Amino acid sequence: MNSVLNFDALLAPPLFSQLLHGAQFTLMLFVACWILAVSLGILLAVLRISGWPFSERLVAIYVAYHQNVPMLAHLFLWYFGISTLLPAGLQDWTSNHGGEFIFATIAIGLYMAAYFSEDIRSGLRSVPGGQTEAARSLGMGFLASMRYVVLPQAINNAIPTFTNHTIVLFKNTSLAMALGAAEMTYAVREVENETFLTFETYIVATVFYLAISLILMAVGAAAARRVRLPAH
Amino acid sequence: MKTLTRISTVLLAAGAFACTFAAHADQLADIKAKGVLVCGVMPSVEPMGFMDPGKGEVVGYDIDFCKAVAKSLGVKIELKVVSSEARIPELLEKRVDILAAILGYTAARAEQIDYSQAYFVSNQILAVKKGSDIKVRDDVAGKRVSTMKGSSNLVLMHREIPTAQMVSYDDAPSAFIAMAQGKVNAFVLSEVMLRRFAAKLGDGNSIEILKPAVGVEYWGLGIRKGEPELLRAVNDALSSLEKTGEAQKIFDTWLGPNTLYKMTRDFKVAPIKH
Repeated sequence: MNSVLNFDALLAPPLFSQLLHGAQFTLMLFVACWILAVSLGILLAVLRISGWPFSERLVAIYVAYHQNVPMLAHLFLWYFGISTLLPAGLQDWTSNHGGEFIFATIAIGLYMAAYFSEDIRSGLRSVPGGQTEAARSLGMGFLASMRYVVLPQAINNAIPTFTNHTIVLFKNTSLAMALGAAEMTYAVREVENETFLTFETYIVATVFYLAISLILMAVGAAAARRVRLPAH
Repeated sequence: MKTLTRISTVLLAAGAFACTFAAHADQLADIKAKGVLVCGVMPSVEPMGFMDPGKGEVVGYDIDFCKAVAKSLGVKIELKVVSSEARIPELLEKRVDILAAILGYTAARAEQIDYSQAYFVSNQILAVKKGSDIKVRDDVAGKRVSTMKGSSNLVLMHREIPTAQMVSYDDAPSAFIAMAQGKVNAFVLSEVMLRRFAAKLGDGNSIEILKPAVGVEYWGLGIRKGEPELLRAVNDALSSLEKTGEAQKIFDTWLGPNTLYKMTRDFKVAPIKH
């Protein structure tokens, strides 16, 4: 009978290494997307508060576009659409060097950058203008007032949403499966399809995603504690 | 991993899944008492199972076989649409009695469910873009090959051409586009699908078939394990469909010379060789 779960096959070499590769791919994809999303997010946030109307407008459009089009659409657009505009030689090169990873990183990274830039901006905006004015009147320059007065408070306020979006990013890497990227969900579905051990494989996936998400939450909480200001 | 097993067993016991543990009478008797055979079908693979926009219901080769089996059991049919990921849980949790859902036979799969006799035999074929430097089947060794999720092509390819790098996409069109765009070097699919693509692309079609075929896939109806009465009844029904010519008729309706597939039936309903 099938009523008893059986993990033996999943934990034996061929299937287990398939799952392990999936887990590895997911973690690599997560790190690559996160680095791209955070660096671009910082850049966008700076442009947004720079005071140039043109760049502010441009960032606003960028953010609106990415927040209002589903991520799966972005993934397909990059992988099946924009990739074909590249020169033929470059297209071949990406196909032979993990095009799935590259385009998934770009699509997810650009998408999540919109969210991260908003997190950073809302953090900066949460610091009342009087704080800057007070710092400046004490004789601090722009950089010093940012470094000692504005940023510590801004980061403190931005960390919770930043952590949330980091977890969202992590879970969204599973959508890269649609491009044939061999990440965890892809591996799980492949193993399920080979063995029909549906419950067992999805339990493995659930435990994996839950464990990593909880770790990310813990890291976020630790970071929040580290930067907490005595006044808060 | 004992802990993992224990945790998940507790989780499942707590959920609706618990009903699977309950003892029950023979399923065939249950079906006859209810007067309904609940058949799980996939709605996404034309002409095997697909939504007919005119009728607003699922029709196709798989569906006709399920209907014929229900008829010979003397009960009504109730179709239930299932997805490729949910089909096995739907069967194991008794939300469907039988699956007619493109279940290609593999030994590993047969450890979870029972297969009836084969009611369809599918040739699995490699195709490339016209003008590709891949000319015969075994040229794809070491190359990238696309397929669609949910098929047993991965197992087949792994056995026949283990060095090919497989990339699976959500559906056949994505796997096809990936090949057309050069993201993969070849595409492995069933002869039915291939004929469909060729017909849709028209005369100027740009795909070439690699010979010989990678292998054959035997499709059976899926039944829960431990139901010998039902399995026997279904197998008897399939055999009699073969004898009366009904099986041939269903084949011709969906795949025969008057359809865009223009196929001839080169198999008969027969037990799947293990």
